[in-house]
Amino acid sequence: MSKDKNKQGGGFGAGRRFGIGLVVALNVLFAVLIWALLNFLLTKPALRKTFDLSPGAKFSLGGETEALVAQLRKSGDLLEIDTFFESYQGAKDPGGIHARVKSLAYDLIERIRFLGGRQIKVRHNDIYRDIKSSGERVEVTGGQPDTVTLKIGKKTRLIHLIHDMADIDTPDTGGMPGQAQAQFVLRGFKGEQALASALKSMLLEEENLRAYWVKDFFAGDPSDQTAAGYAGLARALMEDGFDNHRISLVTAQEIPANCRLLILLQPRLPIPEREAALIQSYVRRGGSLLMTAGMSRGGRALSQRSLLEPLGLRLGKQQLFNGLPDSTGSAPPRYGDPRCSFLMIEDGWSRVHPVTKSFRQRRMVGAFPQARGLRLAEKMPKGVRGTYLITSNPYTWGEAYVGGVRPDYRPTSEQDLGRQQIAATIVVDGETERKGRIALISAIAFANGDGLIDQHSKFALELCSWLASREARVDVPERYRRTESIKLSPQQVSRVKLLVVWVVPLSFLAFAFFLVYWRRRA
Amino acid sequence: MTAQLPTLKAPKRQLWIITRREFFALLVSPISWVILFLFFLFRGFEVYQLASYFKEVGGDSESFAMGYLASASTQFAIVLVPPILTMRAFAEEKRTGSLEHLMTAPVRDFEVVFGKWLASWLFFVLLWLPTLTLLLILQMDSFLGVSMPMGQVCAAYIGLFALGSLILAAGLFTSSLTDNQLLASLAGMIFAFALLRAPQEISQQLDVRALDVDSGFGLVLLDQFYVIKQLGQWFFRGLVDTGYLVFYISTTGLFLFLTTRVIESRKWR
Repeated sequence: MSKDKNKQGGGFGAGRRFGIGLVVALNVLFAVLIWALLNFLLTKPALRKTFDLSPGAKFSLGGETEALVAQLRKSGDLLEIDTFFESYQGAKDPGGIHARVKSLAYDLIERIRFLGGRQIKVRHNDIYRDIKSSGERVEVTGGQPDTVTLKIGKKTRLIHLIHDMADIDTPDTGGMPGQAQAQFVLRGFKGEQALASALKSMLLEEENLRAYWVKDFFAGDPSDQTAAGYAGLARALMEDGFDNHRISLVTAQEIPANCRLLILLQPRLPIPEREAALIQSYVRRGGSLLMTAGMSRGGRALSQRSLLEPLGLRLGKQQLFNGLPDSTGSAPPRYGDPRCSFLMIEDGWSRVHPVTKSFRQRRMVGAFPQARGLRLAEKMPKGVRGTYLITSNPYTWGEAYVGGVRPDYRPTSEQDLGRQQIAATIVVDGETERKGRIALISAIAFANGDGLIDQHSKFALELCSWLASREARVDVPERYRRTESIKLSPQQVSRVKLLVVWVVPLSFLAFAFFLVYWRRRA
Repeated sequence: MTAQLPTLKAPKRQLWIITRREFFALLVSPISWVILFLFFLFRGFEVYQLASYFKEVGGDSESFAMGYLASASTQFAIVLVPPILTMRAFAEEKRTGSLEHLMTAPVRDFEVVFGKWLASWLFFVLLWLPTLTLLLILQMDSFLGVSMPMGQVCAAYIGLFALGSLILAAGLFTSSLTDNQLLASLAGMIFAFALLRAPQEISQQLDVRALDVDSGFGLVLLDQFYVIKQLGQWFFRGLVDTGYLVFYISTTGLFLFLTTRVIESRKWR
């Protein structure tokens, strides 16, 4: 019977069913294979494309950063990235800035890690739970919180989450008592710039650059942890890829050829002719010198003529400070108040110099105590060009910020010292292709106690990088765009409630009832 | 006189007829509007809570948009709504016997399947459109008074609609396997829930390395299935990745193909 049915085409036999089943199974298998092939091919990084529609395309990397990662992959080196981030909440994180910067940093590192493949190893260390990583943090970062370390072989770089990656602004609320407390605002995220610059310097520089600290003439000591010492600057330089060494000019025949930066901070003795000639010769061979020469604590002002005059620089003899006027007006101005000699530079940065241009734009605040004026010679020596770096004005004094309030203080014409130059750089056409560079700051800058504060550390590193002619700085535009902040009144919240809890859902329910009614009628 | 064989009309026209029929059926079903009511009630409380939070703590429009998009009701809408929309697509037709009529009509099996899927997808989009309108209304000064990052919002909706298409196709497949609507919707919900949770669990259990350019196909595939991460870390933050879109579209296609085969198999029995 069934055979007859099969013959008539009225049904399927077991054999035919098996055949159909096999064809269907093969069909399904084929479809799954096509699906797998599509997913295999179209998820390849070369064929995959990501469209970044976020505000300011903040999750995208710049072309230069991608090129650097490609260069890393080509080199075959392994880049290890370690994060040691703190966790702050509430009042400890005003405006949620720390959390936001941390999140942006994680995203950035994740994107770089994705592109780097096996050649980038990322570890996000939980310093609260993992004792090992906590110990590691102390070892790698010196116990500094919120840091990212990059390591290729023996080369390491250290980046601070807030200082290096965030551009934070405190809007001026007028500073008058009774006004609302100034709120910190995250103006930009510079994480990509910081990471890319660090990576570039590690890829470009075969080994760390050598910085030699002059140890004669009671000059600043990189191992001195006291307030007058420069351990903070030495550490910042080390984190930025410099190896710190010490040198005695008195005993040395010449400054080593591998010296990329000579550091002479606050010499307390006049530099003799021989040693000055040694430095000048080094600069003319394309060397770089960082020198600070503020007033000594005792008020002594060394002119260092033997060293500076042949290079077209001249230091002033008078300490720069403004007097605090007596509030009654009967007594003479109180000269000698330590705050009077503490320059707070905000808009005095040179707007043309590559080191300070961005500081000026961002109105970054720098503190320079014990300053005196300096001048470039009217007629500079042949082959020497100078640029002023920092200029003070009568309103750049520390007392202006006493108590956080800016008094309406205008010095009398006798007190007004006018605009004073306190830092300059000179470029010397050398005997070699490389030009010699000098930065002279006529104030105590970068000392531990006198504020190797965050901004100063940034200023010091930018200055040293410029002096050492490092081409490792990557200028990546800040991608973080601050979106509009929401400040809601109770009335607005009530209106939102009315709309989203009542009006919208009930309109759908009403429509459902209408449909039931309509269908019944129909 | 020779018998006239039924002729197949242009596929586009047939598809449109089926889509229109199914979409209209969903539209006039009170159940659909009750789903919308429940969804928007749940979502309404969430948005109100979000606004209250922003009133107390403050924040920016980007965070608000993120909170608005990645709320619990979104997961609810992804896991529960598509299987409910598709459960009756074939199960109901099988139970009432109307599927036989449909199968004998001059229409290709794939057109039936695709038309039903398209109708449910359009309804899914319709479900989400008021949320977008609401977000635009909330921008007004009377409510929040800020403009929302629309690029981020667009990317989020692209992700939601793409994932919705996948889960709807899977729901259609489960509906084609049984004549029990409840079973079909339950299977669809289990699939959607597993899709949302399983890759996360597997990644955690196996301590899987994060995806990078050197990752093997196994890891890429696991990452493709990790839809909750794709929504949270990619689409909701404004990133549209073609790799993930390929996964959603190809998997939707695969499920529609499988559904077509299941429907065809009725003819062989």
